[in-house]
Amino acid sequence: MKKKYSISGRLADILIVLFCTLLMIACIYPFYYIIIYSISVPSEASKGLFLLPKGFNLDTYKGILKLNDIPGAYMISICRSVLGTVITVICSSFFAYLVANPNMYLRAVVYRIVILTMYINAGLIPWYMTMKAYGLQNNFLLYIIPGAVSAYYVILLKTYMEQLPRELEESAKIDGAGLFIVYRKIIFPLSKPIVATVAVYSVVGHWNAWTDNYFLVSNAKLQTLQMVLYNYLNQANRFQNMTSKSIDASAVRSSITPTSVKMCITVLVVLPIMFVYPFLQRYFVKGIMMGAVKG
Amino acid sequence: MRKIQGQNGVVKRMPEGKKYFLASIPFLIFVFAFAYVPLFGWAYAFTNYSPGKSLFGSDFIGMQVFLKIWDNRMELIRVLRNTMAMSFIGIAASPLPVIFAILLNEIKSSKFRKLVQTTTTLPNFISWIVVYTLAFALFSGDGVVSNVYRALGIDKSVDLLGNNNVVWIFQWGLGTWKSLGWGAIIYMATIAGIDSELYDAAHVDGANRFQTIMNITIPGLYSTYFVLLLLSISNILSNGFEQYFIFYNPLTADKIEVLDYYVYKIGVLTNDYPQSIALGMTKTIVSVALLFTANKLSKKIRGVSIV
Amino acid sequence: MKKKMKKIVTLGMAAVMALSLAACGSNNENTTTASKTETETKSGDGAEKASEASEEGYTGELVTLTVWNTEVLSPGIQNNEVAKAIEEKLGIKIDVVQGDSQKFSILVAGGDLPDIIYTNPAQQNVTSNSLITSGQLIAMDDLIEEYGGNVKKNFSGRLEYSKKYLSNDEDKIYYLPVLVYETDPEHPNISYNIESLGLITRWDVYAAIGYPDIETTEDYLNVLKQMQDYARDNDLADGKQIYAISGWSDWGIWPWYVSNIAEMGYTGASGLIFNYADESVVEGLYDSDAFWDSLSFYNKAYNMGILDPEAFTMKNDQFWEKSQNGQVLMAYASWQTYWINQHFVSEGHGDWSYQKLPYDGYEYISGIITSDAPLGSGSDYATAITKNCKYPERAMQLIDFLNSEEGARLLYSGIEGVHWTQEGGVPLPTEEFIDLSKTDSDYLNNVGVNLYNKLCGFKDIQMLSDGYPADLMKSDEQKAENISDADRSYCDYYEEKTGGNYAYPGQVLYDMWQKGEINTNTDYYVYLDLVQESSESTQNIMSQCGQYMNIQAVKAIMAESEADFNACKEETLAGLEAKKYSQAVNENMGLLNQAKEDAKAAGIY
Repeated sequence: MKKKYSISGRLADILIVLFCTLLMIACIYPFYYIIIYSISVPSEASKGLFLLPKGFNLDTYKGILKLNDIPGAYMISICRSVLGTVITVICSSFFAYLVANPNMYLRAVVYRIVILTMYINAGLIPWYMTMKAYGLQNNFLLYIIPGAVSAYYVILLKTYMEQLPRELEESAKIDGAGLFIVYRKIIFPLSKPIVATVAVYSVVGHWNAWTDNYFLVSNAKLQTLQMVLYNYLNQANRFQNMTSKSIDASAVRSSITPTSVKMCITVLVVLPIMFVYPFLQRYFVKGIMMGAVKG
Repeated sequence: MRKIQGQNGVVKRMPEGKKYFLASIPFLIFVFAFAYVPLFGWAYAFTNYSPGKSLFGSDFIGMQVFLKIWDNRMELIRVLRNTMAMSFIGIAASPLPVIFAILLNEIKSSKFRKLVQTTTTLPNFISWIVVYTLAFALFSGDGVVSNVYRALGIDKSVDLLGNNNVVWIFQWGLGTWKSLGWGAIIYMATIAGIDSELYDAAHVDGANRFQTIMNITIPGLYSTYFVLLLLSISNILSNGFEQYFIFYNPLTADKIEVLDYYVYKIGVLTNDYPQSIALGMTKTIVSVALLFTANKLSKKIRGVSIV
Repeated sequence: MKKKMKKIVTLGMAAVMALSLAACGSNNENTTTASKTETETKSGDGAEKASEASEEGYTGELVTLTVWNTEVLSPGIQNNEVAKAIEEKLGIKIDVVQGDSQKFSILVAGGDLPDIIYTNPAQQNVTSNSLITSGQLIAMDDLIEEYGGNVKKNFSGRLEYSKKYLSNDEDKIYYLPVLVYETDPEHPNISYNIESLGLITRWDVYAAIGYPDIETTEDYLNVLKQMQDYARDNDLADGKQIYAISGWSDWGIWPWYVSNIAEMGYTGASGLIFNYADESVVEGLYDSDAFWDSLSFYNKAYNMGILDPEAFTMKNDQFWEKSQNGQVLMAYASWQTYWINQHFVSEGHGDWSYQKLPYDGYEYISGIITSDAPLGSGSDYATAITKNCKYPERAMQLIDFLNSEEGARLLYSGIEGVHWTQEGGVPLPTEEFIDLSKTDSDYLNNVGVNLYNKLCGFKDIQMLSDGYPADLMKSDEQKAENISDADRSYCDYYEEKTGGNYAYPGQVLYDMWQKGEINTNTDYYVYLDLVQESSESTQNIMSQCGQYMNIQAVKAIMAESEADFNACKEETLAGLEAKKYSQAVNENMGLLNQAKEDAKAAGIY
């Protein structure tokens, strides 16, 4: 009837490992290319790279890191990512917990009101006017408040929480726990995998965000990393976009090419994330969570 | 908690249900303030506003904007065709992240599993403009792939970026490469949450790996998968903007223009702000309709309503 | 876990409060300038050296004015030497705000425009009249009267023009045109190479194949093919593929007609074109013969195998890279080739260069000398003060200064005594300045030269009353001194042929023009600056046609036979009709004719 477990199992293992390795290469190689491009001499690199950098040149990195605003921008982005994620996780998960309860009064209505927000987009100008009216222009809170209750995260959290066994909640209530206590002591701890997922999504979302900065924040002290880097990239591009009738170019073209700037920016933006990621990863990679439900 | 000595059991549940509701009110206000208030902007669809004009000085032109959209219907139909094509490919391929998450879960070595998981999320962080640069270096007429062909003596050169026929698959491929690892995270988290007792029981009953997957892991993923599937269906008209904006060129314009790009083109490139708002409005209405329809279907088929 | 969370939350709250407090303060002080006080004019860093030579520093309130300018390299408070000199003299700090058309639209909609802006509908997607009707601008008449001495003195014709044509019929001055140029007949400004648009060829490869004669565009294409073969046979680009002609796709169809029709002798505005020789024939661009001849040129090139097929998928970035790698043998404008030639020198390929061949089969060479621009760039980049400005008088002082000869010299040549000096009545750039501009790629940025030209009333080549141009590096002597080896070889070749004496490439072309061997156009069509804005529906039609042409033009270029090309042309013309193109063209023609009449009536045409 069934083949011996070990042979087909081994085969499956080998195939899986093979497949994953190929996938890994397809994912790592481009990033490796970006790294070697960023440390190559830009004019050489534009001729084509494969496995090794061409020449060695850190001018582009120096050019970026020399900018006055970089340390501040890193700080702002880190604060934004951390605070924004904390707020988003707390608000979205608590709200999801409320909606996950089948007894909630007007549950479908409340849930739908939130879900619909994913589909409505009023346009740039009305959004701008609204944020301005709320006093969020040039305000750090713009970065962390509007995203606090995010429909997509609420959906993920709620779907997960719905599947947790009802008995735990029931028994806690019988013991006299109010809804906030149930959330804090039971549901939240049990939802670690999904909370970690939402946290990762949220951290990355905040880290990469820049449109709110671009349109609403001109204060030099509140610029995010992405914004500073984006401005720098535009600088590098500016030579090539001049269509004015005479050479109004204002500086000798430097050896830094826009492409090498893009590569360096990618590296500078991704590396911090790669440091943070493993800490959150262990929450949703299975193996650690044995017996979590029991706890 | 106040215990109600009710006449029948029903009354006892009400206060609790209402408590949840009351607790959610602050959040609703919040959501309303940030997502619904800006909708006053929809009024502009019915005016001839353009940036620079006073907000209140624009004339009301009513439904004319929809006439304009209707006038351009051939364009719009082509754009919708592209949008739907790419969305359908995406929906058909939606089990991929699930399968990948399951495969990852089956890896015996925990170190290797984490390594694979981490590295496959890397593409997600590469911005589309850099993806374009990489794709150009690889797949254009003078790129790596073409050079490899030449080296092997094959007299073929490949130019995927300018090839109108492969646009849908190529863009889907790029999108999948970028989002597979990242999208699998949610499924991994769900698997991590499956009660380990079930796995123990299955093992005791002598189930092999395949059976375990089929009977425990996959059912555990149903809810999440169907919710996300439902969302994808309702988002058929939204493919995102950045990717298509960056890969747009005259050779592939026919097949690569999706609705989001088209709305941008109308609003920013041809400077017709009201029309772009009107299109956005229509998109919202259609998407919401799809959402509820799919939900009703889901109720009928699976007996569970998702929203 | 709980305790940790609490800690994080409290820390977070504290941080939020701190940062919000920081944010509430609205001054964007950059740390390095924070220490500057209003009344001090002490020495301490580079710019202050100048305070000994220039007039006494400003003693009054230091203000910061925000300025919209997308051409300045780095936004924010300007810290370069030129900006510091302005700060010294006027007590005004310049804070540059930048963005794309979306950001500009938002600022307009929200009433958040910076203090000083310029108008540029093509870039901002907002028409000049809309800015006026949006109530965001203030009329500058009184300010100019009181603070605008230099504005009134220099090129006062601008003011009348602005009142009549740039004020939405309100007869006030909302906009001040910039970059005025009036030729000095004794010293016409001969461009170093050519002034802007033209088909510019790799001279070294042309030389290598023996400088073949070119009389028609067919000849030119054949020569390009020979050049391509030569370059490929000799592997001039290190193994990379070489094509004679390439392009880019992210500026629409710009490469495929702009330079060609300029060389055919056409100029135009608002989607219309007319020939220098016969101004009366005005036609729409997209259905004109000139346009289709241009497409046909590239179509032939494509079928000859000398047009890089990647041109239709590449972006402008990549075109620059390919050119710099030596993979492209023809470029489209001098502002490309100027930098690429310099790049060649710095990369050790000093023998490579792009030069303008006197003959490429087209009738005209555009931009041998700079033509007059008495109204500057007209409604493009015209300066305006917005109602958000808290110090309109100071704004006008700044504008006035930048409309003075002293200001122009500062903006284009740097600080007197530091970057240039008066040697016996002759202003010359210093040795150090010349040296550093050539060798240090950050130098000109740090000095701030040329950055704020969009605020300046004068063009950089404008002769000032001391007989030298505002930008001292653009005088004939400087151009001759800074000639590169490759440019020298071009001059030498033509010196042999004609027996003339040429100090830089532009002089070769100028000489040929004086002798009647080549044509250029020097007329200034003043009425082009007087054309009123067309109606919304016309603007919409024109944009839509533009998008349509982006696709059709490429199709035509890639047509595999003449029959296919013609079929595509027919299809396109029909498509344009369907989009009501001729209706839009007619309206624009009407406006153009109206402008001609107006100019005649005002006696300026």
